[in-house]
Amino acid sequence: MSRWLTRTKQWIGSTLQLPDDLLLDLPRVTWIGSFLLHIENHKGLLKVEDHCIVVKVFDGFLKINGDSLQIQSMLTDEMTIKGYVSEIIYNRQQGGEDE
Amino acid sequence: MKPTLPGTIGVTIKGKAYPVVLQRLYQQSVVLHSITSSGEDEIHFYLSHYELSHIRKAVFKTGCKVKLEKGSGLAFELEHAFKIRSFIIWMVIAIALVMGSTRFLWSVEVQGATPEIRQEVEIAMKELGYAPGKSKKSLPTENQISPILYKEIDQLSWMGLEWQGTKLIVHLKEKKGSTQTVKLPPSHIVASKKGTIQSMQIESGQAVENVNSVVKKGQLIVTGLVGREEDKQAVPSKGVVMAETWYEVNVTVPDKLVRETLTGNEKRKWSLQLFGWTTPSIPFTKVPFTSAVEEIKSDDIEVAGFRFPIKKKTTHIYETEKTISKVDQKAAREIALKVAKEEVLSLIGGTGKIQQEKFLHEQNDNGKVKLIIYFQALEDIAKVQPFSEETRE
Repeated sequence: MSRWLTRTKQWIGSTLQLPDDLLLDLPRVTWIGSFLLHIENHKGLLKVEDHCIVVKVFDGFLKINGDSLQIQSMLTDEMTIKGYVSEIIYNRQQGGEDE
Repeated sequence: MKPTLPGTIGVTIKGKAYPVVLQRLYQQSVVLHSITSSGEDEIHFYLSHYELSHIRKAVFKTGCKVKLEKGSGLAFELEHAFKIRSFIIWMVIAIALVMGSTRFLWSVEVQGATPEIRQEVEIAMKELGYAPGKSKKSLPTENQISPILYKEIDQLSWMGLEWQGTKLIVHLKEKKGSTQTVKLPPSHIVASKKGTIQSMQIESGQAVENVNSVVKKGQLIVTGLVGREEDKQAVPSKGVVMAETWYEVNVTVPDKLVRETLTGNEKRKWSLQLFGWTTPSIPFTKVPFTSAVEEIKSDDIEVAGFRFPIKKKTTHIYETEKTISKVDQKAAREIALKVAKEEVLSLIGGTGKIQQEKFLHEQNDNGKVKLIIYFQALEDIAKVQPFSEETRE
């Protein structure tokens, strides 16, 4: 998505007082305690390992570190990750194809 | 057909390019559950069995290996059940059929008594509803039908029903003794033949003739009108009148007897018959017998119940021998007597017997012996002649 479109969307959102994640297709991450992670608006998985899961999002990828990680369910735009989550790293990268 | 029942399948994908597979599955909006890494470059997840077909597209040209686990869930449980479903269904159907069929009457067998009573009972039972194919419960009970049968069939003294599975056996006992209440019309007894009365046993009626009187054919012996002159009553006459009768029998016996006997030699020939056309018999050799008797048997050729239109024809040829025996006077007499006796006995009926026989005449003529034999017999000459009361004189 080109930059001016993003800006326009941001402007529309701010003038109409709409949440940004709806307009811009941004991820919304809910972290419950250290054991459950809810990611909305994801764009797919890049890596699944016991201690590291990489989730693709609109403008980059989310790197989730932890122990005995497991994706409980992966729906089209919603994902629940279970396990001991110690850190989440948000890497902004346009395209977000590679780690 | 798209499956509609829930069921999940465990999938293991091994290969360096597994993220590509996951990405493709995500683009196809396939829902995945419990995605875990089960090793290096290896992930394991569950998905609904509807979406199994997407995996093949997703793995296409990625070099990943797909391993499917046995599915679990209602769909697979049902599928398993459906595999043995037909067996169970047929089992249930078979049991139901057997159990169901035992609730019906299949055949009625009537035993005992005379054929006439059996016939009557069969008809009556059918009218009462004892027909094959009726359910046992709908049938009337023994207590219900027996009074009806006793009433309808006079000669029936006892009946019992016995169930043998689906077969009903009706046991019958007929009445014996003085049960014949058939009303006979009033009748006379007249002589059926000319003869001398030897003895009379009159059960009913009044004798007109006495013992030792000679009666002609048709002459009144016992009258059915009994009582005084003023009020005579018409009764059916009954009785046995044994009388002496005479017979003259002409018998001719040839003095040569030609007998054909089998020697015991036998030849057989076979041929096939097809739509009325017969093949030549095998073997083709001529039968060496001078005189013979042929017996032809044709059998259907049958293989496992299927009847071919071909018949196997077997010809048995038995050799015969002609023997000519000369009959002397004594033997001729014996033969003639035997033949004549048989003839007389057939004339005088069962109760009669031959008292005396005598050769009246004997003559040899053109190779034949002619004999006239005289018989004196004792037989029942009573003949019941009904009359109507209006015409009595």
